[in-house]
Amino acid sequence: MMRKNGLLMKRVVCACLFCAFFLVAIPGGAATRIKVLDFNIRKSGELAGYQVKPFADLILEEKPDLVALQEVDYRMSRSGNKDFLTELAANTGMFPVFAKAIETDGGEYGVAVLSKYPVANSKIVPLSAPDGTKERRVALVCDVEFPDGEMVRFVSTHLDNSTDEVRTEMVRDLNSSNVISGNNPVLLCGDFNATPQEDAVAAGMTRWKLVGDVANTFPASRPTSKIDYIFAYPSSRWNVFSYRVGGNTISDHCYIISEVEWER
Amino acid sequence: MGTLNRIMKTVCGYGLLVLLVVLPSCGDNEGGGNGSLPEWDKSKTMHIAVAGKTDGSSLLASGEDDAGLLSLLRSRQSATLLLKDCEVSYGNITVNPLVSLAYELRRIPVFGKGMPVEGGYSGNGFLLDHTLAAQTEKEVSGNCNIKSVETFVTNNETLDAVLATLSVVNQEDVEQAAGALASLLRDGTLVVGFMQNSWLEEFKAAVAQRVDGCRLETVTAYADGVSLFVLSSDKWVLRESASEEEGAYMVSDLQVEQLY
Repeated sequence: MMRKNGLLMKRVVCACLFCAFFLVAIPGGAATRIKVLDFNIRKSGELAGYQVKPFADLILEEKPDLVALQEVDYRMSRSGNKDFLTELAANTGMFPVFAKAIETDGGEYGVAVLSKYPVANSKIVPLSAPDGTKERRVALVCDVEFPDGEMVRFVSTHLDNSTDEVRTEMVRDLNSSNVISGNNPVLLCGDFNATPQEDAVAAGMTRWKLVGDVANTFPASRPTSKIDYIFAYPSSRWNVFSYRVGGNTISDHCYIISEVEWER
Repeated sequence: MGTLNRIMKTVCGYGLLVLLVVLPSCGDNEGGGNGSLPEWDKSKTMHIAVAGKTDGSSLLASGEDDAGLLSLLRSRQSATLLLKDCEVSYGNITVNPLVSLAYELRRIPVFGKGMPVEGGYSGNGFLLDHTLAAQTEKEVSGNCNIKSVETFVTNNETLDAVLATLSVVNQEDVEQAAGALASLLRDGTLVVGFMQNSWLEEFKAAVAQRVDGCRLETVTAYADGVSLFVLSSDKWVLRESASEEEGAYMVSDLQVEQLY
């Protein structure tokens, strides 16, 4: 009897060692960890004297893999005709992609993405502009290949500061095949100009995982509402490891930052 | 009836002969089939300046001083710049000289991933004088990708164009590259790329098999035997090119006309 039990124990131990070997030996265990930062930079740094450096310092300190920016000026008169994003990229070493929403003030205005890794594909998806829309808006859709070979779609957007009805229409476009492609990983960031209770978010983003919590993000000086978001799709395959709302004095929005993991 | 048949055969024979002469292909078209070209319309001509190291080494190796290159490129009139073999790395410290150069030259950088190098990639970089509507990457192999950007023929931004680049670094990728480029060429994409001069005949034949009437022109060769080439359908024609060496750098100015 004793001998039989000993044999059984040996087999159990061997099986455990066998499993442990595979858990340790198979590299990566099939997950991609990503640090993502979203920031509405208020007219390309109006509150920072239109200087790029404070934003570059913040990015270098936080070390995100991906950054989504809103209210980005390109050679607009109000911000000194500068190409804010390329200057920010030169200061951080990240790959920049800008998306024009409108032409104004002698230049262009829109959203942007910075990526630590090369951007494979990018396109601009114009969002619907139903009656009542104040300003044309877009979603910038980028595909970024991570060093482990995983291609992650990263989206930056800024919904119109008008009505919930208009934003709900715009959110339909964010749920379209222009943004979502099968069950491939998507991280969508932006200033939704909508609180979690409004239809644009409460009904419009049900297919997505809300990354983090509903802590207020606006105005940065004394946040009273949450209007800045990070969403992940498909919701069941993303894990959130950290989420933080970053107070600052260089914009009227807090930035939000999170570490997430995509299960392959 | 017999006479009619003979006449028909003769007409068909001459017709076939005319077709063989008229229809150009990459394979028998060293000069780009420019025989019956319309007069050069400079208002439909894209100016591209291509910069590389004369010895064929990486143009922007990590940490290298780019002052010489900067002054060379500043003197260029071309709206579009293409930089051959830039290196980027993103280990503990991210090194991305292409974006610094873009900032200095007031351009928009677009990196086309090529071959993996330690901690990052080597690849070609576009510097555009307008913001980007779209970019796409098409994989040829683990060491070769085609990067396409939506751009304009001239800086008044009235004529659309798609410009692509690739570097073929392994001979086994030549056939595969031709296959991957075929649909882009049929859609009117203009390709500026790099590969060993000795592989160009094989490449030319492989492209000609897939795309009728394509044009392949070799512009210049670097010291390591790699050539700069311009490839397109009959939508484009290379009208003029000039290469200039200055110090360690070679810059080639291309003028390519969009015919339709």
